[in-house]
Amino acid sequence: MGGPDVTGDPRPPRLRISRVSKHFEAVRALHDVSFDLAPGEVHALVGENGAGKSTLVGVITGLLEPDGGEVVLNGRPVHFRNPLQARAAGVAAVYQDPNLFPHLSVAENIATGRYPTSGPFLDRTTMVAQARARLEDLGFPLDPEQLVAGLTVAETQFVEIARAVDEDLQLLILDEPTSALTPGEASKLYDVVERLRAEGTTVIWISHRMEEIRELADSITVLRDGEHVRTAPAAELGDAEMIRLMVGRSVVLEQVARTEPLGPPRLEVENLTDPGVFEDVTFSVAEGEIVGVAGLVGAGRSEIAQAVFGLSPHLSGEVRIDGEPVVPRGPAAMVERGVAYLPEDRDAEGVIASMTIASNIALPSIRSLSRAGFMLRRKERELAARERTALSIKGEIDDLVSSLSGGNRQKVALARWLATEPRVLLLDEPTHGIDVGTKAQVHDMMRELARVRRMAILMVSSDLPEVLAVSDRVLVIARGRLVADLPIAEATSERILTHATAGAAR
Amino acid sequence: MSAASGVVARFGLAGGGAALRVRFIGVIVFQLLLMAVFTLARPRFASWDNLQSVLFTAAILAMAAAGQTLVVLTGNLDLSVGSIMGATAYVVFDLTGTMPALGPWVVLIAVLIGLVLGAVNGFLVTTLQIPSIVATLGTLSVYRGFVSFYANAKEVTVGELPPWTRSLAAARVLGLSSYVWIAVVLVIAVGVMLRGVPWGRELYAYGSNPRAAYYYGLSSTRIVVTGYIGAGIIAAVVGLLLGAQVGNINSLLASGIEMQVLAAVVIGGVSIWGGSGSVYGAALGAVVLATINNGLVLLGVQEYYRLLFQGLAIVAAVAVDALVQRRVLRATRRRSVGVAA
Repeated sequence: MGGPDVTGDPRPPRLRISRVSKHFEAVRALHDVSFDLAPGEVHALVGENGAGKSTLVGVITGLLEPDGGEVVLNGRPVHFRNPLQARAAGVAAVYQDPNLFPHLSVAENIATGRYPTSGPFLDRTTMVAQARARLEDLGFPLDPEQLVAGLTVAETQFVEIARAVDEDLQLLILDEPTSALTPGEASKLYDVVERLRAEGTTVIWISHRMEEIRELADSITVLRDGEHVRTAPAAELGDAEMIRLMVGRSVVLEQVARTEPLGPPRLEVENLTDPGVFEDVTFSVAEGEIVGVAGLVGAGRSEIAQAVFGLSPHLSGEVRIDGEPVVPRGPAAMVERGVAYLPEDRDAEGVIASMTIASNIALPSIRSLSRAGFMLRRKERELAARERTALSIKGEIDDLVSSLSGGNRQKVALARWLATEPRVLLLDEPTHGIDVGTKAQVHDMMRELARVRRMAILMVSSDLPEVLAVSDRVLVIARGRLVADLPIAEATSERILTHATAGAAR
Repeated sequence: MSAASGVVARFGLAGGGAALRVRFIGVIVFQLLLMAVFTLARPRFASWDNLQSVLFTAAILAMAAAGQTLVVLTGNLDLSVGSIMGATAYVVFDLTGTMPALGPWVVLIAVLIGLVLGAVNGFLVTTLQIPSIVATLGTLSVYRGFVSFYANAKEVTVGELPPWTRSLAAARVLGLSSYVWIAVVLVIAVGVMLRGVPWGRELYAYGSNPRAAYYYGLSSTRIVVTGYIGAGIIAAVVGLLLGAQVGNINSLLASGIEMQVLAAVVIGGVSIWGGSGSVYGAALGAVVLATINNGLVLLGVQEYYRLLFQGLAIVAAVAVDALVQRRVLRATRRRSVGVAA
C-alpha cells in the first residue's frame, strides 16, 4: 500500500519486514516476524540453525512466498517472484554454498540473467569488461574469461559478490560468507562490506561467528524458532546475552576436565605423505583421546583425515591401528579395521537424505544385521532406536533424513558410524554450520565416545573455540606439514594461529 | 596469499577448461585417424564420390544432432527425434499430395508440427516432472503410433512430392549436395544462437548447475521447454529434407535414427550431464559416425560389426566425458592456498 510512514521518521527504513509468516506444511518456519533495517547499516542476523534465517532470506529475495505479512523496500511493499526480480530492485543475496555455473566463464557467471546485449546478441566485450571492472573494484582481480571450474572456494565467493554488487545495490544479504575463507580473504570481504556501508548500502550479515559480528555489525537481530526475539544496536547486546537470546538458555563452550586415563595409542601415523598435498606427517591418537587438528582452510587437514580413511591413492608412510600396520587402500578396508570417517559435507557424503533415519543408521551395519542374506528388520529398528535415543536425534526413526535440520543430520551421520563401534573416529568439521546449542551436544557426545566408549578421535576443525574446548591435544597443520603438537594445557588461540600462519607465510 | 591462490586458480583452470578443449581436439584427431586408416585399407574411401556420400549422410545426422544438442545441453534427452522426423515428413507430404497449392508453405507447417511435438516433450519433462528418458521414450512411441494410424499402412509416393523438394534434394552447389550446405548453415546458426544470444547461454547455465539457475532466477521450465521446441522444429525440418530425398515415404521413415543422433552428440563431446559441449562438436560427431558407417561398409564388414564399433565409440566417448566431468568438478572443489612446495 505504501502509506505514510507512521513513525514520523522522514527517511523510510531501507527494508521493513512486517509481520512475515511462513509455514512448510506443519512446520512453522517464520511466525509474525517484524523488524527494520536502516539505510547503510550492517545488520547481523543471528539464530540457531532452524531459527528461520534462511527462510527469511528466501522470503526477502523472492525464493519463497510468505504466507502472511509483507516486505517493504524503501517504503514500497514488494513481492518478488524470483531472485532476478529482487536483483532488479537492488536486493541481492550471496548464499553459503556457491551457486555458480562451473562450465561457464567468470564473466558469464557474473552476467547471467542480466546480459549486456547489442540487438539480439550478447555483447561479450562489454560483459568481460564489466566483470573485470567489478572484480578489480572488489580488490579481488580474477581473469573474467577463465572457467569457474577451477576456482577456489574463496574465489567463487567473490564471483558471487561481484555479481551482486552493482551501482543500484540497495541491500546485500551475505549468508555465512566467511565459512570457507582464510583470515586474509575474510578481511578483504570486511573491506568490501565497510565500503558498501559507506556508500549507503544495507548489508544483512548472517553468521555464527561472534568476532565477525563484533567487528562489523551496527545492529543485531536475533531469531529463535521462527520468531523475532530482539533487534538492538550491536553495542547494547553483549555476547553472552546474544547467545542466551539465541538458545533461550546460556550455553558456553567449556572444557570438561577429564578424569579417565588415556590408553595405549590406537591410531599411529608415521611419515604420511601425499605428494603435493601433505608431507611427512607423524602423530598418534591414544585410546580415549580427542586430538584436534587446526590450521588454515586448505592447509591439508581434511586431506590427512581422508588419507587415513583410505581416500588418497598416492599415499606413502605408515599407518598403525592398535599397533597393527594397515595399508589405507580404501574406505571398505578401513571400516573393517574399525575406522570411521565423518565428512564435512554431510549432505553430499555423510547421509542419504532420501532414506529414513533407521535405514541411514543401519547402513554400515547391514551385514551384521542380516541372517542368510536377509535384513533383520526388527534388529535394524532396535539399533536405530537405541542410537536415536543415545544421540537425542529429533524425529522418529521412520522419518526421512531430508526432513531433519543440519544439526540432526549430523547426529544421524554420527550415529550410523557409531553403530559399527569403531575404534578410530575421524571427524571433519563436525559442527560446521550447526547452531550453538546442538554444537554443545555434539561436543558432549564426542567426549563420551572418547572417554566412555574408548575411541580415539581425530577432529579436524576450523572453529578454534571448539578445538580448545574438546581436544586433549592440538595438532597444527600449515602448508601440508605438521608444525605443532600442543598439549591442551599449552594451547591457546593465539599460539595455534601463530603456528598456522607462520607455516603458511613461508 | 592471493598470489598463491591465483596460481592455483590458473592450475585449476587447466584442470577444468583445458579438459574441455582437449576433448574437442580429441574428436578431430579421432576423425583424422579414422580417415587415414580407411584410406590405407580402401583407397576408394578417399575418392571424391565417396567423400561426398559421407558428407551427405553426415549432413542429415548433423542437423538432427544440432537439434538434439539443445536438449542434451540442459541435461535432458530427446529420444523422440526420429518419430518427429517421420511424423512430420509423412503428414506434410501427404498434405502436399492433396493440396499442391501449398508450395513452400509446407515448411511452415513442418515448423508448426515440430513446435507442437517439441512443446509436448518439454511439458512432460518440466510441468509433469517426468525424467526425460522416460518421457521421450513415451513420445517416441506415441508420435510414431500416431503416424502409423494416420498413414493407415499407405505410402506417400515420389510422384506426390512437390517437384521443388525433389530438385532441392538432388541439387548440387560447388560440387556438394545442397543438404551439406543447409547443414552447415543450420549448425552455424545454432552455434551463433548458443554462444551469442542470451537464451543460448541460459541453456548452458541451466545444464551446468540447475540449482544455481534457480537461485539466479532463471526459469527452468522456459529454458527446458524452449530447448525441446528448438529440437522439435529442427527435427521436423530435417524430416522434411530426409523425406524429399527418400521419395517413397512410409510411416517408418527415420525410425531408429535417435540412437545415431544421440551417438553423434555424445561422440562430439556434448556432455550427457548437461552444461558443456558445442553444436560444432555434435556436427563433428555426426561426421565421425558417418565416416565409421561408410568405411566399414567399404571394408565389407558385417552389419553387426558396424554396430559393435559404433557402440564402442559411444561408450569410449562417454567414458572420456566422465573423466572430463570429474576434472571439472574436482577443480571446482579444490581449496585455496595449496601446498606448492
